[in-house]
Amino acid sequence: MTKTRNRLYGMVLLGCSFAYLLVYWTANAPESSFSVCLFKKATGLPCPSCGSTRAIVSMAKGHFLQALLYNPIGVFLGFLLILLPLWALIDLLLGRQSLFFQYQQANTRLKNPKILVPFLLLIAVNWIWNITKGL
Amino acid sequence: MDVQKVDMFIMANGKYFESHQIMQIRERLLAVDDSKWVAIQSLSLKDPQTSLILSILGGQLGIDRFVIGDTGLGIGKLLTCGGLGIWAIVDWFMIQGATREKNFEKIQPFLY
Repeated sequence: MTKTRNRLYGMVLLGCSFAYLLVYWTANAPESSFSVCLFKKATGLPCPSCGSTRAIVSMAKGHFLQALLYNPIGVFLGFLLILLPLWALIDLLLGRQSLFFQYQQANTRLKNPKILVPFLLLIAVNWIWNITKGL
Repeated sequence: MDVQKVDMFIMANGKYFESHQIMQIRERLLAVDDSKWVAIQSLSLKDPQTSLILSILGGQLGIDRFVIGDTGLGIGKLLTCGGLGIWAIVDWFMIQGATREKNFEKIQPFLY
């Protein structure tokens, strides 16, 4: 239990720091063709979340509409990127596990097909949009 | 349950669990009641090798995590481009262990 909790918190913190590094790097080298996306490299097509980094960068610059046009998932991830590390750090400092409980609840709720199927459909629609945009 | 039944189960399903869990599972199975045999037989355990193939082919989209039942992590992987590509690669090496852990979690309720 504690092991899984600590693993989740470690993953959140590590992932968010990598994400911040990537966003910082992209913001300072906008013309580079560097991409972390294996899917795009392998197939040439964008993956469902391609464009998220660009969306976060333009959100940080205050261009919300442009961020939405790049990728709506990016806007969602941008908010998570602010919320999750703070939440995880506060939990760790106070010795609570509210983030872990929320994660477990979300996990059981997402297993319900009535929630999962529309959610995945939404991502699929966004993916088709990504491909037509040619990100 | 009798030794023969349990050993047959272990032989047929040993590959679905970590090697250090097998002795524990065997001991518990010997101790539990015969009425649980049908339920244990009908458990749908996931094959670690299948999830490895899924991880290599569809790890970027989190398909491996969805299949073994980690829906939350699957969504996380799907939305973050396979965890910025890093998690997808890390999971090529972790997914077999994760599958075996999930199988162990699945059989737990029938062992006690």
